[in-house]
Amino acid sequence: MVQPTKAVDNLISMKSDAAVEDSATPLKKRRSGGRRRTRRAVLSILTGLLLWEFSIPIFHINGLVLSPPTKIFARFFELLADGSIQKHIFTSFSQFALGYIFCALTAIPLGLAMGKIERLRDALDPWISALYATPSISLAPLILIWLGLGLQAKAVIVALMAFFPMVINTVAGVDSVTKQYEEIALAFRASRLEQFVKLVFPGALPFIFAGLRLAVGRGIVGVVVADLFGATQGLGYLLIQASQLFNTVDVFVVTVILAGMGVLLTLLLGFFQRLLCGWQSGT
Amino acid sequence: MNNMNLPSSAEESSLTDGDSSIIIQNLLMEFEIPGSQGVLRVIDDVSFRVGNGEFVAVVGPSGCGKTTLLRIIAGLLKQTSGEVSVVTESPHTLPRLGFVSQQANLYPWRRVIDNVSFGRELKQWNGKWTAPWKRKKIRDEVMPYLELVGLKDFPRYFPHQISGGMQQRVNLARALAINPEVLLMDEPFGALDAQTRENLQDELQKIALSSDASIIFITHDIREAVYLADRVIVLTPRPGKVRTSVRVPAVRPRAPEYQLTEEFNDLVRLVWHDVHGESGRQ
Ligand SMILES: Nc1ncnc2c1ncn2[C@@H]1O[C@H](COP(=O)(O)OP(=O)(O)OP(=O)(O)O)[C@@H](O)[C@H]1O
Ligand SMILES: [Mg+2]
Repeated sequence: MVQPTKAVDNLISMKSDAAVEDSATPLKKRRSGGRRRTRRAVLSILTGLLLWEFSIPIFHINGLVLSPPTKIFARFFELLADGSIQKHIFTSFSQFALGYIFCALTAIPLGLAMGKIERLRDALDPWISALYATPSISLAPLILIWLGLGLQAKAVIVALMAFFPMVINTVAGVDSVTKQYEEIALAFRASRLEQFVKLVFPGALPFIFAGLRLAVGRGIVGVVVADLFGATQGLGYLLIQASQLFNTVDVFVVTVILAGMGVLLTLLLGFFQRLLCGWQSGT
Repeated sequence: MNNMNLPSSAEESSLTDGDSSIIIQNLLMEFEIPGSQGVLRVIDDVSFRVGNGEFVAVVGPSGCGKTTLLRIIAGLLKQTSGEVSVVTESPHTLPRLGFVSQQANLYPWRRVIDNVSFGRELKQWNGKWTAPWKRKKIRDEVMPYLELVGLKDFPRYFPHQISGGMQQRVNLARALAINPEVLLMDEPFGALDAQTRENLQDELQKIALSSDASIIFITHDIREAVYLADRVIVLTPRPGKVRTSVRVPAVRPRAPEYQLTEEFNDLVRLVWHDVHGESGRQ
């Protein structure tokens, strides 16, 4: 069996979010609830940054160990201004994007097919369970040997990392479209194609989005870790350079850029999910 | 009064195949008992026919196989043995079959109006593939069905935003929207309040006559069965067999006042005795 733990976790959290959000709360209250949530989030982050900033002078922390946020941001804009960091961001981002999109285009159809075709699922399940548990990043050095240090190899590594959450969640999504729903379609004599288009896909979509979101994080890890095994350009490359020179600020700058990339992509996915799965939040 | 309470076989033979739209012969259904080797017989040698345009109500105790019977007729379940055929005027195309399930089972990702459109969008009933962005026409076409069930103000709601009874009404509208020749209904009004139920009973009577659909209507409610149906089939406790088939002679549609007549109450009493296993008095 494919272990849909991640998927289930995610679904539960998503569902309960949705439930909290619209459990018959009047519209006005819900809006201000959303605003309150944003306010708390911003407040929490600001407090964290302030603690970070002031703990350094207060506890006399060595600059090699920890850099204050102000310094990190200043350095970031410095690197942007002299134009030296753009090419690394661009390299890593295109490696990520290529791998991620390629992965989505294969993993989601495969997951849908596995969900519907029992034979295929029985054949692939053991592979997916086994490979999901192995840290696929350990194959990165081999892939670099096969494909070189460039775009192709890095994209493949990203795809490898992103593949399993996407497949496993898609399969779980197909499973979530239960027998009762299928029976209605059958009673109305829907063709197989219609069942797929009108039932399986829209029903599985929230799970597919959950998989896509999990895959963002894993894909970003992939792109950086792959650089550690050999690179001439990219954020991971910058990271090794900086750490070898004990340039703590630059290590933090790279980390913040990666975090920002993850946050932006997740927000973007959230936007599309709200657009396509409006029924979940009841908007 | 007893002469209305004919043994099923005698009555069935008076119908010829040409008049029938649903023919069930010696139907037998067994399920595997979960976690054991044995089988549970749920339907035991059931035979009856539903004539063209006939309204047949089926009553019987919980668990006697009513839903199972309906699912077999709808082609959702394969019987263990016996024959089921659904015949309509054009024998080469599939019959237009409307199915109202016991649970509403609306698609949560579709708005109310799009749930009602579901059948209409299908190639089977629409004749062609409909692109999702061309659904407006279908939405307009099915709107009257939503009005019919009293939900014209709720087309844009999602199923989880309406009540259980409203969901059940959408379920009914979804089946009616394909203009069915055969309508299979599994306790469609079970979850509704008395007022709504009465309204829908009257609407259903009108639809039944105007569409000339053949209807199998499952219910727990003996009064509802007698009020609506041409014939009430009483099933025994599991395994379900046809105990009796009671004809209700009054012409349809019947006014609500029919429920106050002597005839109605006599029939209800008759069916009640059959349901409660007191058929020995024959
Ligand atoms: N898929 C199944 N597998 C095993 N047993 C089943 C299955 N479906 C139904 N049964 C059994 O068949 C019997 C009849 O079920 P059915 O749903 O037809 O009853 P019903 O007459 O519709 O009852 P109710 O009035 O409560 O809806 C039950 O004992 C049930 O356990
Ligand atoms: Mg039932």
